[in-house]
Formats: sequence, C-alpha cells, structure tokens
Amino acid sequence: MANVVTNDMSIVIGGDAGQGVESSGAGFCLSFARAGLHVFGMQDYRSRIRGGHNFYQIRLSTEPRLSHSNPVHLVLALTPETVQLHMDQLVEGGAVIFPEKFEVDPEPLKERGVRVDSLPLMRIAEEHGSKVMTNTAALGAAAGITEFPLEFMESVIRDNFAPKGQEIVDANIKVAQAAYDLAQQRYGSDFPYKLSPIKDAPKRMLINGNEALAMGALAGGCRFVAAYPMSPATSIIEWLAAVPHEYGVVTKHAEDEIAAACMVIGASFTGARAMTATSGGGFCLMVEAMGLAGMTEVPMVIVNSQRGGPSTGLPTRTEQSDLLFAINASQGEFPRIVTAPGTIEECFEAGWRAFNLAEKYQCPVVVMVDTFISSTLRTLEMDAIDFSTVEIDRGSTLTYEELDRLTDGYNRFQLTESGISPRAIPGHPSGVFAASSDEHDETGHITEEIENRRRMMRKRMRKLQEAEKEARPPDFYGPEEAETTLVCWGSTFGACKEAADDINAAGGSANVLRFLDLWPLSEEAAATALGRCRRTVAVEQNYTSQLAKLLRMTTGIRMDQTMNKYDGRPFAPEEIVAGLGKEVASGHAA
Amino acid sequence: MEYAQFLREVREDGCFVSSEETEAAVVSVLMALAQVLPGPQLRALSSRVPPEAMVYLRRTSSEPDPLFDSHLFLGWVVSSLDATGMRDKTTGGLDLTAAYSGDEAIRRMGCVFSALKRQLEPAQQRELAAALPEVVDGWFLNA
Amino acid sequence: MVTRLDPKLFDATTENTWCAGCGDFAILKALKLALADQNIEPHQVLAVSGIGCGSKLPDYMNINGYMTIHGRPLPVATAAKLANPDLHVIVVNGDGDSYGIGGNHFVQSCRRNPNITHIVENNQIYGLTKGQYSPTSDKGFVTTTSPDGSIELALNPLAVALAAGATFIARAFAGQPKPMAQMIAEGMQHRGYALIDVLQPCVTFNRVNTYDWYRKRVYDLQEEESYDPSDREAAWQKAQEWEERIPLGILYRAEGMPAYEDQVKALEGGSPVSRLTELVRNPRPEQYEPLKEEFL
Repeated sequence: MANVVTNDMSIVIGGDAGQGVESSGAGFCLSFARAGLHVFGMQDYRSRIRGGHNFYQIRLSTEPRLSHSNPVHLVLALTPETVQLHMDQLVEGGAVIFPEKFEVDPEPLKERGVRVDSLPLMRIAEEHGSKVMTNTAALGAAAGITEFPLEFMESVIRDNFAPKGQEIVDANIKVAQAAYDLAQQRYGSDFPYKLSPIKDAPKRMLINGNEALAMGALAGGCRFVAAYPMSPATSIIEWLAAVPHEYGVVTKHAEDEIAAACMVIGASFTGARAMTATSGGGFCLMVEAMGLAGMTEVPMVIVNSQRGGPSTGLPTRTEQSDLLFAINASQGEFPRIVTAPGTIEECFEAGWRAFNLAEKYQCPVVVMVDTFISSTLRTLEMDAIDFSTVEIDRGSTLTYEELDRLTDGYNRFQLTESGISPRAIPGHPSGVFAASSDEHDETGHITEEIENRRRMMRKRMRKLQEAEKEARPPDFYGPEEAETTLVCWGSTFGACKEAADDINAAGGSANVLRFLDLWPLSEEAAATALGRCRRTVAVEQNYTSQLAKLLRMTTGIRMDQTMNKYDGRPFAPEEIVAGLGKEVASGHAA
Repeated sequence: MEYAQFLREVREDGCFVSSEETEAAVVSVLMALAQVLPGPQLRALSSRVPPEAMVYLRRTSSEPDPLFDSHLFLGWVVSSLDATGMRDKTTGGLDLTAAYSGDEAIRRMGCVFSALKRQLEPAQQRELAAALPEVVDGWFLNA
Repeated sequence: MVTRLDPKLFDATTENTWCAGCGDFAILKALKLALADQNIEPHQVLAVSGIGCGSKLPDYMNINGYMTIHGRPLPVATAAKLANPDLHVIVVNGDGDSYGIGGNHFVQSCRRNPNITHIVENNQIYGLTKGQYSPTSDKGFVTTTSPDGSIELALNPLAVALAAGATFIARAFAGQPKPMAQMIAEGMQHRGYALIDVLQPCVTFNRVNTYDWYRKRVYDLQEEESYDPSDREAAWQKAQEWEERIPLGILYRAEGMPAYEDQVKALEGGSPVSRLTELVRNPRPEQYEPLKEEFL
C-alpha cells in the first residue's frame, strides 16, 4: 500500500438536483470543520429544481485554503452519471463509491488505478431508516473509508435533523453507523487517504462570502435591505431577513430590482444605511436608480454577485464579467466606488466599509463578488470576523445637534473644496430641502444655468478625487521580486495565490498583484505596482480581460499575457499553473 | 342686448381672429365666473347678459369653491386658446406657444370683462369685483 | 380651539414653470391647505415625485422633497416611510409616471398598503414631452404618437386600485380644490396607502378633457346619501362610471386595516434611522457575537 496521506484530500459528492447534494455536502463540511480541519467547500449546481448533475467538492487540509483543488481522492456517486463526469479528476489510488444496482463500467477507472466499488447503501438506508437516507449512508461510508470518526457526523446529524424529530435523528445515525462499519471493513487498511480530527484545534466558523458580507453590513449599521431574489445573491437578503428582530433589520423583497434599488435610495435619503444585493441581470435594472443616487448624492450600497452572462447566461455559475459595466453603469458622469473583496474575510470587511464609503462620499458603492466567493464555504477563525474592528463613519452627515446649531439656512448641495456637502437627514426644521434628479443649484432647486451646471459637475466629480485618496492601492502576495506576476481581482485571488505558491515551491518564481478597490483607480498607485512587475499575466474569469483593459486605460500599461476562463467554472490553481506553461511553472522562464 | 351684438363688442375690443375664437373666449370667461361668483352676484350678472349667454353662467354646486383662485380662473380661459404649434422635430411632440397663453388669456378676458362691464352699473361692477378671487378682481376692474 | 398653520408657510420662492392655468396649481394649493389644516410643519413632510410636469411640485413648495426618476417615486417613498415612520410621506406624480412606467409599483403599493398618500396628477396626456397619449387617454385620442387615435383602452386607475387591494381610493377634480384638499387630508389621516387620483386638465396639450368637459360630468359621491364607501361592491360599480358621469370623492375606504409598516416586526424596537443614530453613539460590537453560533 502507498504511503498514507492524512488530512489533505478532496472529496466529491455528486448526484442529480433534488437529491439533496447541497445539504449533504454542507453538512459534511461542517462535520470536518468541527473536527478542526480546514475546509473549503464548493458547490456546483444547475439552474433547475430537479434533474441534472450537481456536485459538491470538499477540500480538506491542515492549512487554510482559498480555493478548491484537483485532483480528487474520493467520489461519492449518487448517480451513474457522476462516475462518468468526475472520472478524469480522480487521482491514482483514489476511489469511487456508489450505491448498489448502478451499471458502471469500472475498466477505464481501474486502468488509472482508481478503486471502483458498489456498496449496498440503499439497502442499509432502508434497513435502518428509509430510502431517502441514502445520502447519509454515502457520507457514513465516506467517513468509514477515510476512518474519520463518526462522532462529528453524528453531531451534525443531530443539529440538522433535530427539527424533524428524534426518530429521524436516530435513524440517520443508525444508517451512518452501518455504512461506516461496512466501508471501514472493506477499505480501512488499504485506502491511503485518511482524515483525522485535529486535537485542540480552535473552534472555527464554516461560512460563505454572502453570509460574511451580510454580517459585515449588519455590523456596519445596515438596517434596511431591499432585494429581488436572484442567484447567487439571494442568500444575502435571506440571511439578514432571518436575523432576530431585536437587531431591527427591515428587509423588503421588492417587486423587482428597479423597486429594490429605489427603496434603498428612499431609505438612505431618509437617513438609514440601506443595501441591495443582486446579480448582473438585476444590476442592469438598478442602473437608472444608481444614476439617481449619483445625481442626488444619496449613499447607496449595491452588491453585485456576478454570474455567467450575458442575459440569463449561466445562472448558477461564476464569472467576473461585470467589472467595466459597474464602473460605467448609468448614463452621464458621476462618482461611484467599486470594490471587490477577494476572500471571505474581506467580504465581511467590504460589508461595513461600503457604508462608510457611501456615506462619506455620498454616492453609490458597488461591491463586486461572484458565485464562487458568494457560495463557497470556508472555515474561518473566530476572530477573522472581529466586530470590534467595525467603524461607523457617517462622514459629513449632520447630527440633530449640528442641525440645531445651523443659523443661516441650509444648502444641501453646498459647494465645498472636497465636493462633499454637509448632509441633512429630513425631519429637522433647520434642514428642510428638496433634491432633484434634474441638475440643481446648491439649495437643490432645478436649474439648467450654464455656470451652475459647471460648478455642480465639478463639485460632484471632486468627490471622486477625494475617494481616490482613500482607495487601497493594489497589494502584492508572494516574493517581492518574481519572474511572473499574476494580476487579478476579486475571487480569483484565492486560486492565483495558491498557483503562485505552487510555482515557487516547484522552483519557479511568481507572485500575485491583486486589486481590491477598482474604482476610483489611482493611476499612480497602479502604475507604480505594475512597474515593479517583470512579466504580467492578468488572470480573469471573463472573456475580454476587463481588469487588463481598465489598467491599460488608466495607466497605458499593457499586460504581457492574459488568461481567461469563461465557462462558468472557477479557476483551480492547477489550471493557472498549467495555463502559464511549463517554463513558468518550473522556473525556466526567459 | 342681443348675443350677436355682445360678441361683436367683445371682438371689437380686441384682435380676435374669428368669431369662433371670440365666442370661445366669452364662453370660457362666463363659465369661469360661474365657478367663482356667489349666488346673488351670479344671478345679478345673469340678468344683464343676453339669454344665449345665461346658459354658461350655471353652476352645479350651490356654493363656489373657496379655493378657486386666479390660476384656475385663468385655466378655464387658457383652455379656450390653441397653444400648440407644429410638430417639434427637434425634441419631439408639438411645439407650443403656451408661454404666451397666460398673457393672451388675460388680454382676451379683458375684452370680455369690458363688454360685460358695459352691461353693469358702476356699483354693480364693484360688487362683482368684490366677489372675485384675488388678482381676478384686478383683471376685471382694469378691463 | 385647534390651531391651524398658515398655508403660506409652504410657499417657495422658486420660479414656477407650469403653463398658465395648469390644473397643477390647484393641486399645489390644495396640498398646502391640507398640510396646514393638519398642523403638519414643512420639516415633518417628505414629498416624493417622479418625472413630468406635475412631478416638479416639490420644487415649488417649502417641504422636504425628492424629485426622483420617471415612474419610481412609490418604491422610494415606501422605503422612506419604512426607514423613518415619523415622516409624513406623500407621493405626487403624473398619470404616465404612476400608471404607465410605474404601473407595477402602483399595483404593488395598493396591495402592500404602506402608510403613504399618493396624489396622481391625471391629465390623460404626456405634457413634459409635449403631447403624447397616456395610459389614461381615452380610446381614439389623437396625439403625436397616436395619429390615428389611440388603439388601447384607457386604464381605469380606481378599478385597478380596488382590484389590487388599495384601502383608500378617492378621485378629485382640479377644478374643485376645496374638496380635493379635504380628500388629501383624509388620505393622509388614513392608515395605509391612500390613492387620490386628481383629474387635472392640461390646458395646453389636452384639448378634449378640459375644465368644462369635466365640469359637465363630475358629481360628488357624498351627495348620494345611500353611498357607502366601505362597500367594495358599490365602489366597484362606481369605479366603472366614466363616459357620462364621473364620480368624485372617496370611492372606497377600508377601515381598521393595518399599514405595511405596522406589521414589520423589526420596526417594533425603533426605525432603521433611529437605530443607526443609536449605533453611532453606542456601537456595542459584542451584540453581534451570538450570530457566529450558526456557523459552528
């Protein structure tokens, strides 16, 4: 038998939509997280309620990982199709298990050194519970094969099935136990990939980007959320809607994204911190309202969790194809801020920081995430989400007391050096004003007078210069000097980081230049960073290399190479390494 | 006085393009008056105008609306003007001359008022003016 | 004795750009009077409008105003009210804004029942774009976009509102500002969404539906002694009247229905605006710690 590898493997659970793959996968992830392992869980599903292949890929390790990885070591196939679809991902020495009665041709797998086994999972499920518990049997078997103590799975079963009653809990545990015993018997000693709980590991959360972002927003004072359900952003409003009422979060499932965006503006105009979350299609509908917020200088936070486009595109899959759209969305010119967290921790921070930026610069802020970071689960240290770091900075918003002290009238759109005007919240006798989407003067009244137009345009656009001062310059990961720099933004950071690590470990030389704040983009900061790079490769989850275009537009600097992926599936680190070519990966680059 | 004679007087007071235009102005002013004059003044006026014009001085509600002001009064008269021109091929829609409507309506109203005033004793004129909304009384007295 | 504010308190110094004699003047006047009668001060009101001639109204008043984009004032206002229920929130926009481009928001607002008052300046024409037919233009109406006469049936806003579940439906006529002011005040006193559709002649572009055209047809529902505005069936019958006789007044009023924000549990301990003010004073980061539990 090959050397035993402990706590470094990937498991795929695959089946049809409607077979409970998502909840099985998430539950399994949680049992590993409770055992102290680092978990990265990625679901891959189709836009339909039933039928069609779905899978959950779980990566387990002793180090935190920001991305999934290939190869895969164990495939739990709940359909024969799963075996076919994941065959190529399997490593030599890995295994595929599936319930009895599947007709699977084992030969191609056996040729590659993969162990193929049918286990009587349905029979076990029926014997100890019912047929719907086949997934539990499969997970129990997986635990048995990897000799991962069943107690962690049991605790998750107890928590997850508790609402369905003790009998269901007990039956599931019996099913898991029976499958565990059988699998351990068959594989125990000669399956080389093992999972073992880590003693004294700290408690960790298992959380996705949307949840972290929503939590950040809540801590940042967001108490109004309006949205229209759209994958993959729906879980943001859902999470906030489920927060206990004591926190006072008003959530509104609006009639459409137009209404959602307008509601955010209405609530914000009145003085609340308000947010909406959507995907590209919904963002399209919000674009006109975004211009209203720009023109009337109302803070607005929009989360755009990008998915495969155009149009309905790939509804459940990932893409980074809305960057230039977000930067340019809506007619006319007005300041807006676009930021793209690259990790789940950064999603939390983006959640509250967006409101500070929006209120400080009194403009729309778009937080760009994507299906990948929105929905993949990761273990996070408890202090990675640190509420004491959250600041609420309302910028030039006037307090009631400050309004009390106003003596000679109030101009909502007062001309200032920074372009930022003191902002009154309606309700105070000294701060009565009218705002208009038409061009207006300092008081807010409509006018098309030439000089006023020039002044007001300059005033609004000055805010963008101010915001640029606060924008974060791009940051480097990896060695200061490297032959190749992977240039990225948003969720591809995870895969780029690991690709660079792999290249450096193999004797190559690579680092990562990551852009977190994308608009306003400081020409100086971007050019300085790019000037430090020998050879740049823009790694983007889109067809047209939108970051590369933006950088060229801003700095005149052209990327040396672009690497694009637009099939809706996220980059794995190995793909990036392979895409760079042998020379780069092994350190023989020119 | 005959209705035709009344219309002629109005027309002679101001430059109306047609008799239709003149009658439209007369009708609109009378109808607007019907909206604002209290019963006694309305009846007094009715007794002084040609029978054909009396029909326009009818009001459905018993009391005039106390908020009926000069804008609304003007509205009735402006409604009798054609304030649109040709197609506006630059910005779409119809080109409009509504900027003139207010002044033109006041001018036409003045012609009707002065013809009416000739039917009234000075005391009656003052009484009627006193019953008109602010601003409209001035239009009437200055006509 | 109840004190009453001077309606002049609501006057603005802004230049008014409406056509002379526009029915919107009467709406502006009625709104000022309704606010004064209720002793509501300028800072306690937010008037949200869309785009169109009538939507300029907030610019012509001394109150908090927000002139938004075409068709969208209802969601803006709904959220403004949810964020700060202490404000009196009024929506004022035209027939195209309300019933055309904003039609979905109109229907949703009827069934949603936010505590806002919606005044529609219904002149059956697009004025600001200079004379195109609107959702409430009668069939056959000739305009620049309907040179052969409009082919569509006119939308019946009162019937739509009734069908969609509105709890207060009234119709006023700009030629009768006093009852209009009364209806606005009653709409504001009503707990929930109050629609006041105001028949408002466009003196420049609508040569058909003039003051006189309406005067000949309108009648006051309250003069019909047997009319009961709480009777939905009767309201439905009345809502169908148009060609010959047009009823004015409160067509339908459902008493005792809770407004949307009365039923939002998260509002029980304070509004989003007041809670944020409190958070700035006292952020209490520890309050969020229990939320981490669900991820363990």
